[in-house]
Amino acid sequence: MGVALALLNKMEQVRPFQAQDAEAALVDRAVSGEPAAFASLYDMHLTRVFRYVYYHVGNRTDAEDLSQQVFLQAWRAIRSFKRGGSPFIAWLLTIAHNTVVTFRRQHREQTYIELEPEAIARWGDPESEALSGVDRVAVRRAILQLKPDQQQVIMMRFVEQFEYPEVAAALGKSEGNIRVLQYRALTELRRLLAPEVRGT
Amino acid sequence: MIGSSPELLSHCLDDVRAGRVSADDCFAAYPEAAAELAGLVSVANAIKSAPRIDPDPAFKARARAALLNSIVAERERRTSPLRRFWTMLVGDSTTSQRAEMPVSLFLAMAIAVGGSSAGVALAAQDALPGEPLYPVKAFGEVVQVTLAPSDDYRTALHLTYASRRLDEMELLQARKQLALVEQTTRRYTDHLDEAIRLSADRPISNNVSELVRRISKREQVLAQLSKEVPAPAAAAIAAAIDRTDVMEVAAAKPSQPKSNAPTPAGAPHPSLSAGQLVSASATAAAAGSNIERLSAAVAALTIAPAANTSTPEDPPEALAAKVAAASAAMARGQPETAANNLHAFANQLNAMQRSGRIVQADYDALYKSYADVALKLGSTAVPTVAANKTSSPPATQTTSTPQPGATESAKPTPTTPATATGTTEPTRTPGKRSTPTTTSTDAQ
Repeated sequence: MGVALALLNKMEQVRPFQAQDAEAALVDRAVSGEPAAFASLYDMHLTRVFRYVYYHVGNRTDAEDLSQQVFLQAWRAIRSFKRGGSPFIAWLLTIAHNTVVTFRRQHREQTYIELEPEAIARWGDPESEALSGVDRVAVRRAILQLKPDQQQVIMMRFVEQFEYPEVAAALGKSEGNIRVLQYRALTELRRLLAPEVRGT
Repeated sequence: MIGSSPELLSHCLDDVRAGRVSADDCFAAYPEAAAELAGLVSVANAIKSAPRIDPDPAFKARARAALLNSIVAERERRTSPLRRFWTMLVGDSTTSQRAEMPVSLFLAMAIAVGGSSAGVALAAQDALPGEPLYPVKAFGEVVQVTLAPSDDYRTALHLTYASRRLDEMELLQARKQLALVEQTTRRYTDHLDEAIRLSADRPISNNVSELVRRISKREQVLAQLSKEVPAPAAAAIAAAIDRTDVMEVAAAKPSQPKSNAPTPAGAPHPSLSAGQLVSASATAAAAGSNIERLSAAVAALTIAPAANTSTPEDPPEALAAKVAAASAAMARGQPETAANNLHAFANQLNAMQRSGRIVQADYDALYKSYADVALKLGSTAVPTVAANKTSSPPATQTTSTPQPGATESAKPTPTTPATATGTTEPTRTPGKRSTPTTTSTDAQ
């Protein structure tokens, strides 16, 4: 069941080769300074960036503001993007992560920002939660308590379903480093979720 | 041999995720680490994808427009006018044109410094992209734009040079040098972008309007080219056609007298600025769910003109064609083009009203229907004739090429602040919320 869901998630994210080719052409044009091409990339990736940011901040207003910042910062840094390393969306999500980390530093009093009821309602999967014994709101809460680099690896590996080389390229680390970060993050998550996770 | 815990965990997670082994089999393969692996894999399995919350369509459009505005503004701040225009004409030094640059640049500089090669400069006027003298031609254009005495004159120059790029595209097509079309198309688009930027929040002179009209009439050059060139160039041509449409709508806004008095903060501008156009068109992209209702509303608009207009100058078919084009654009998923078509429709309608060729009641009914559709598209409605009547100067000039002094002769008499700001409220359909248009230069 879990494997099937993971495969389905992965399939959903795998786009046809032609689409990737078109994206590569857009990225090249954006890197060469063409705003229209960057606007097309915005159209392609806003939703995923928004969801990533929303996961961290838990409300639309902040998610909208931060998503907008992400793309502006991406445009400013577009020349630093290296083709052939990480996917463009992974690069965008890295910027999104840094933006969110800065935002949360500025709002230190809110160590954890609850999800809006709308998100929880659309997120529920009572059947699988009953099987694992962990509710995803609790998992999210635990993830947001991790160190920023651990958070980033967990988000990219398990929420966004990127492979090790893609995460490594996006974060500028070796694959070995990513595996270590993943191990430490899951160990910490296990500790935080100990009362909830069966078999821990 | 897999040794450390991070490697064991990665191995297990990958194999289980790929369906190569079951979790239990993996734990059994490493009995000394089985308990730890079981706990960590269990945690990993509990992590789910993010909630499927979609950004609000209005936000998407608004943020897109703000992003583009910010990009344009930042480019303006960072690039000197001379360098910007030079890059526009001869390409970035990082592009594939680098190889031909040294000789060409030398020629251009030789003329600029020596000033003795009038014959070369003259010969360069006929140069095509890829030819050694082309940068000389480009440099001449750079100088002209840099030395232009006013923004209006500069706008006219950009439009003139855009027209030259069209000439070049036609010649390249005839010579089957299609590889050079894409770059030339981008230069054409850059000229229009500059013209649109310079026209933002400023009145459009008749001189500029005429140049835009001439360029628009040649749009078929681009359409024809797009059938013959490879995909990247076709995409560039599609963008060029789009910018031509935007420039056409920008130029169609009613001429406004230049007022020395600044517009009070927050006061609505009586006509569409280029920045608003970008914003409105982006907002239109969010109207996907209203396509069916829009099509019905647009279809309703086609009925009235046929019954009420009959003069040769404004055949009802022209109005109906604009509405049909808008409907078709919506069907193609191009709301920006649809909005442009509807703006053209409104301008024609206003022209008919001004000349008394349509009765007031029919005009009011049609305008109201149009404004309703425009607002649904997220676009700002073109002001009614009544809104423009007191602020639009009569047409005084139709010169087609920029001449020194032309701008001055076309400059309307400044109005009083009361006139400039007292008739600026565009007609709104009752009960409709005005769509916010983002012209901020800072997205943050």
